[in-house]
Amino acid sequence: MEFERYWIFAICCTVVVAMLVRLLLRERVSLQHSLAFLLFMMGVLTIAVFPSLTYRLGRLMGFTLPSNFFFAILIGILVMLHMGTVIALSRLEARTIALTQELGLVQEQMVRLSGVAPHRAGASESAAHGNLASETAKAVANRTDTPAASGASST
Amino acid sequence: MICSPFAMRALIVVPALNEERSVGPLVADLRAESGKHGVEIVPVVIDDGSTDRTSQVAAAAGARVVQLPKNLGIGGAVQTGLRLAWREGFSCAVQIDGDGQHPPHELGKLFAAFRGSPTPDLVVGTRYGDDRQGFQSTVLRRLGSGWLRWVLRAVAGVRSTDPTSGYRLYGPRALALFERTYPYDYPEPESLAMARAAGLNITEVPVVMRPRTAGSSSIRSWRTAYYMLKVSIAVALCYARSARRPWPKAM
Repeated sequence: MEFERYWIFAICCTVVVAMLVRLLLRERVSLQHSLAFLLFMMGVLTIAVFPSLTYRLGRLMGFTLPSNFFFAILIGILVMLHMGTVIALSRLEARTIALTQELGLVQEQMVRLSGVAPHRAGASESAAHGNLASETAKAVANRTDTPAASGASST
Repeated sequence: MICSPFAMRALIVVPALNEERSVGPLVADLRAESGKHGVEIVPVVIDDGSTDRTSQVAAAAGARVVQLPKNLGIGGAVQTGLRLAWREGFSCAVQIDGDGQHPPHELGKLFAAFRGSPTPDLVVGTRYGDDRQGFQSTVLRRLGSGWLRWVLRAVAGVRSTDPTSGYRLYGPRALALFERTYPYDYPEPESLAMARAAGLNITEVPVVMRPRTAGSSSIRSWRTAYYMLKVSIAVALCYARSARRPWPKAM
């Protein structure tokens, strides 16, 4: 039994799987996008626990060294997983750009129709760079200003 | 469509990122050009997520302002303007840099070329014309520009003397193409290859350019290698794509 030889490897795999499950539980990653990786890690874990599987499969496919077979398969699967990520990322980028453009165009149309001049000075960045608390307070103050003013004028 | 006393309405697309110092005078100059060449000029400033008062300055100067909530980069900003021009049925759109490199009084030359026969779809203002006046850029940039010229000519069959020029006029067919798909970063040389691949008619006119009045160039030295590699591959991809289908598909 080869179990003794690969126990460190098995622990490493378990740690990675545990980390991934933790991320899933906290909803930091979606199951849809991590399922392939999760299955891949499970596969590696199986090999770590039952290394004889690799020997037999490797010999079947003409590899003289089981480790070479193992690495070749690993690299191949990782390349495919990465490719999938790149495709998803590119699609997301295209969508984000299109949505941002639409938002800008719709906002411009709204401003023109309502006749209100643009007033947000770097709205997207100021909150990130400046003091978040003071920015929020300012925003809330601005927001409550308007109904109070309109209320006063109507009475 | 809005009724206009002029035969042509041109949307002047000004992509701007933190250009509060130069965008005001530029918009004023653009508005002063309206009607001069028999063209009604509508300036639109695409504020690409500026943290300064670019939007307010531009609006106060009388430009239409599209505020992008997040920074998209030059390609995304320009495409926003081209989409606007396409949707609102403008006769053409002119891209002009927000940093004051492109003098508005040179617009007439672009419009004159656009009226030529056969009607061009894309008119590129080149600073390397016959007269060689004004700002001519640095040695390194000209070297890079030379490489791009060679790639465009050898791979895509585009003869351009100034492929990085961002002073250009888009006709209706170019608007229809770029409304659907436009490169995100360093778009100028790649968009020439795309236009060529889509069978558009590209022409050049010599214009005088100025050194930038304020702000800093988006092309920095350490990114030059990436820039050259990316654009070269992009042009080659464009050519390969056009061999497979005549119209590049939007992603």
